[in-house]
Amino acid sequence: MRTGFPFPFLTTESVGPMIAEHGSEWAKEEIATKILKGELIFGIGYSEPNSGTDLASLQTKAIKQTDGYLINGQKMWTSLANFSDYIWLATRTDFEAKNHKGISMFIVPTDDPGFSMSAINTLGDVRTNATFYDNIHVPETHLVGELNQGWSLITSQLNLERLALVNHGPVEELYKDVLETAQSTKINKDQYLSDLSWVKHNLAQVHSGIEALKLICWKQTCIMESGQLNMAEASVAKVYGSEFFIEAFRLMMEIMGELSILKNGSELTILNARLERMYRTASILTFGGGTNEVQRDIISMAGLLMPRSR
Amino acid sequence: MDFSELSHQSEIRDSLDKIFNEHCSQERLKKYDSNFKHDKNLLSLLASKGYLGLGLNEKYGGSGEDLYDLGILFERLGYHATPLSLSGCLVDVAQTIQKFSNEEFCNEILGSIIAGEIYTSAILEPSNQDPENPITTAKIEDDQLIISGTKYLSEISSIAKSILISANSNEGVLLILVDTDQVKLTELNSTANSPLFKVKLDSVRVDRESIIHEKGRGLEALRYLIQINMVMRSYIALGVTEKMTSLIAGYTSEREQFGRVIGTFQAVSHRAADCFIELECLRLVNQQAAINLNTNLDCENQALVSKIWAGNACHKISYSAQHLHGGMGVDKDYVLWRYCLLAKECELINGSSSQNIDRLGENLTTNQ
Repeated sequence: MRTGFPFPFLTTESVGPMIAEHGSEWAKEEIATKILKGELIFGIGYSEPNSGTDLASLQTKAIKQTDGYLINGQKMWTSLANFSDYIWLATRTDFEAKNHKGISMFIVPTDDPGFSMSAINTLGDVRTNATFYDNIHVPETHLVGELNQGWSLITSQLNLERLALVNHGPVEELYKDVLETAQSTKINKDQYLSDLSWVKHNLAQVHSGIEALKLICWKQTCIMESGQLNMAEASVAKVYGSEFFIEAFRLMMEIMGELSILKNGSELTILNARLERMYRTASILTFGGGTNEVQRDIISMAGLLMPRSR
Repeated sequence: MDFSELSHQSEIRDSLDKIFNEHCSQERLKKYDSNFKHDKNLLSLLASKGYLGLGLNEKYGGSGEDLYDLGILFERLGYHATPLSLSGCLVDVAQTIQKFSNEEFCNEILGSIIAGEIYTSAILEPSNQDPENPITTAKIEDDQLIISGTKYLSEISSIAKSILISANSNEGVLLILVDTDQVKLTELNSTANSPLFKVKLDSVRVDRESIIHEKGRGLEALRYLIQINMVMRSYIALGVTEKMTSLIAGYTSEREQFGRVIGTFQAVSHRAADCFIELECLRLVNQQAAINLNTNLDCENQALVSKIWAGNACHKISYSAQHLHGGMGVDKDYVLWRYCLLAKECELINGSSSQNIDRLGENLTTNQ
């Protein structure tokens, strides 16, 4: 990720482990193995037009048939669906039970004739999709985990995703490049950009922020290796990391000045216009993967043992 | 102090809104997302209704030398994300000439600007931290000047009649009006797709009469230009952030999750309230700077305060708006995204908040 390689980290780091642990024999052999080999990519089908932050209200349904399930519904923000082999799909399977208790997870192939999508173009020039599921039939083996027990798979997956989203590699790499540029850009006969006090101030703010993020990421990795994952700490990483990225890109754009609003392909761009692209994509992480308000709720409940906020 | 708006000022605001509502619909704006962002019909309409004369003296055909009125125009241009970049023309060129040039210049240029002719400025230079001290040079040879240098972020230069250039010479800083066909232009591709150009001057020869100010007043004129540009750019920022805040209020009052509109969650309403506070502060510091620049040609600290608030408001409100809209905020079929790009442009051009804080601190501690 540090090098900017578009690594399918949500497939490998969050969906993959869930399938390897909870999938059917078919899923473990066919799907998990191929994910490890880098032969499969997943899109994540959670949000719907009316179910975003309140994900448990989702309405896409999977109805039990004699030889499997029949799936119908619509998902929003299904990123990577245009590259994906399968969708990791959240569905409602019990309509009587309370919201969280009637959800099941399925592996849904995107080459099914009942699957379709339309592109959503975004501010950051990253494409995402609305995806549609029209009478898609899947066999029993495509159910992951127990029927109606999907919510715990979603929350476990999201804990893994939240950590993967705030990896410190790319911002640290960018910081090093900005520092180097500031140190080698002359502003007059005997001064470099990095000699200005406010530039030093901005660099120091970014640096100290990255140090904290790096340690949060390392600590989480360490906890995960030991097989545990603390909900509150995954949320701390997500809130801190996503909000820090926004500040860090701003502080670094200030240092590079007006040059940093020039886009890729223009004359006079600086650092390959990476800052111009990154500031536009930064907002997605404060609401994607579970909005930060809900993360703060989780922190106060699971970390501080406070009552659930309403 | 009286903070109420005069009746002619609310009239300007209302009639501009009426025009822009009609001309800046989503469908119309879409056209300019990938094309040259300049609506010439809209500009002619503004000219025919006299709005290009805001802030200019009646004797040239303007509606009076009040920068508060001009601020309203720039605020509304920002609010409607209009496909017009007019600060080079109406602010840098028109206002600086009005304050520093002789009658002949004023009559000729201000009259034609009011009628819809385009002029622009080219002040900023790549990798020059201090626009008051241009790297571009003007060599004085008898009655002629020979100008060399590179400028950038010059607005709508390709359709401008002439460009106001800042340059250093052995007589100090000069502001010189150069015909556009004497320079080399390259269009830049910038974050909000604004029509911004690199301007290259390669031993451009002009008459000495092209200097717009009296001998010895160049630095004063350039400082005024930079300050009024900061303030009017902050007015664009005010319009941009005002629109984003109203989008936040509208969306969070309608979007339902957990069986209620999300605006009823305290975390959401508080964040919206913070945007509102930021916006009010920006409005007031802009008005203060504009009113003072009416009578005082050097209000650097007030201009800096404006631009510092503008940079901060643009940043904070843009990301609050995107966050509170969730995915809608970044969807290019919704309205918000254009404002987010404009916000970054307003924030960074002509001095970022950190840079200006540093400068303000320097002024406060040394100008005692």
